[in-house]
Amino acid sequence: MLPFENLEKELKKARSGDPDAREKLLEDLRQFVLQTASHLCRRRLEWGRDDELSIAYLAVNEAIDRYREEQQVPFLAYARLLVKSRLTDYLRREARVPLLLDSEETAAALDASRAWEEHWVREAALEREEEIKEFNSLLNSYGISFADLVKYSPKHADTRRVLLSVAGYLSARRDLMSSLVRTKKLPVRELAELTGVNPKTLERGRKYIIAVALIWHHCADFLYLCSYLRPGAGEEEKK
Amino acid sequence: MKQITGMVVELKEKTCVILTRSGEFREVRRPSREVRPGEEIVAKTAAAVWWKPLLAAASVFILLWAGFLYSGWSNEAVAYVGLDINPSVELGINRRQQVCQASGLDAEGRALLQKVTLRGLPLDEAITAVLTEAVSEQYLNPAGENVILTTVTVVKEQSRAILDREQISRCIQGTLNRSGVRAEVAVEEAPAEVRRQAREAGLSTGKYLQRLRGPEKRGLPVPGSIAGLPQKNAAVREEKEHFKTRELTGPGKGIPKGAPGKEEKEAGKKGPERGAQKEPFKENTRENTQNGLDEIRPPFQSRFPEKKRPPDERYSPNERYGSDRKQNGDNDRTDQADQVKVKAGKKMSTAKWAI
Repeated sequence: MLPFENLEKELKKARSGDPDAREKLLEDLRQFVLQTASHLCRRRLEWGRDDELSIAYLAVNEAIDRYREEQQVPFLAYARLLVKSRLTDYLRREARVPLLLDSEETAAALDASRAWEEHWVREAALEREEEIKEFNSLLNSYGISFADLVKYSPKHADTRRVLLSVAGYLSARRDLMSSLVRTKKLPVRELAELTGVNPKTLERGRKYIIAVALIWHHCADFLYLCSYLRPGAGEEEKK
Repeated sequence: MKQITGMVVELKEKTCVILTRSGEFREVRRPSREVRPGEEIVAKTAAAVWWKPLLAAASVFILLWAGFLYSGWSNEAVAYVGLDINPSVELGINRRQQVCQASGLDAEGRALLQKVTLRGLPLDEAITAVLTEAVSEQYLNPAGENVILTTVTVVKEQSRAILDREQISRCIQGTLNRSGVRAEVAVEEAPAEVRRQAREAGLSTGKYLQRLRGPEKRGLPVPGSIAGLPQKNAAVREEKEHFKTRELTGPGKGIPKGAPGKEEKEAGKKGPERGAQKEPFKENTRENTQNGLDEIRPPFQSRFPEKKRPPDERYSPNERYGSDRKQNGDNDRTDQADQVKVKAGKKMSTAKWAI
């Protein structure tokens, strides 16, 4: 859903001063902005109507400049956090109902880079935890536990690669995903046909495939997990 | 233990589950510091405590099992030592040079084994025991001509080292000396295949060897005088040097086991091919010797000039070969020879010399 590789490239270009790249990037991120802001405000927002979106948009733009890659936080997560802060401030100023997270920070404090760093590092950690918790419950709804995943994680790099590619394929296919969501079961036969992978392999790696496919399908919701496990992650064996 | 990096997704009591960048979910030991889900940690792969007791148990099993496999414990016969006196016995030796099986290959052999327990004894002791028993049972005659043929067969090449023919012959000789018995001792090596064939033929390896070599060698009438293969000549001959040599008596002197004695042995050792034989070789079987002591084969005549001979003063060099050679001890040993004859006569009737 969110092409991370492209994102990073674009981000780099935009940061290096390419105005066109920035335009393009912001264009690509519009959807993201909308989703995030809506989620934070807990209501459907509309471009042009709601100020919140503008604020969010500006925040993302700011994020492009302020993002530092070393922090192990994916850009989108960082952007999201920044959007959250900005929106919180805005809404507080507007005296609306407090949002999801009652951030203590004020705009002024935010600009002090050190405080901000500590702040969003903590925020990020909290968000990660939240995300994992959510993921856990999602998995449970499919009858999968983390212990299961340990057991069924392919140890062998080759198998892992195969299963990951299957998961990638699956997560990109709306129809298959909806079938999965509906039945809570993997459409093994179809997948076998479509990917050419042996059904037995698919069966054995069932839980693993489902878990990874879920991560990638709901990438925005599981930002941290998703960026950690890049599509094509099986190739990354460098340590 | 290698390091592994991953994001914590679940915390358990002693372990935590992490997701690696390469997409693997692993359970690792929980780091000592406080960690929360979402943090990326570098952990040691001693995954969890769950496999330690398993590993311990597995090690125990392996050790036990390895103990069984350890050849030192095994009681498989890796070599066979056959002793042909007149009873024939065969001892199976395990890797620790102990007797793990003992079988009598003829009636006397079996009877002898009834009397001595050899299992578990080291080879030396077993040989001693057998010989001692043989002496006491009069299989080995203190004053007479005795021949002990020993054949060694290794089952597996790698266990060849445990059999030392020198050692065996020394052991035999030692026992003989202690018992005051003289005998021809030869220690031969026989390949496993030969032994197998011997078994099939119902013979001891030694006797079978003898029979094998018979047509060629002719003039190897008795166990103990089997000549070795050329390369073994020297070795066997050396052994003989340590032994008291048998008297040689001419035909008719009543050597129970047959006239060809040491000199034939020597000659025999010179090469696999025998020279022209004056008489067809007759095995010293019961059938052949039914007529008693008179059925003695003439001394063996060899074409081969002897190159080496044990220092033996009884032969004068010129008279070594040839029917008119002075038989050793003709003059001075007659009494003994007669005694032997007498004894042999007794023994002949008991078919002891049946080979």
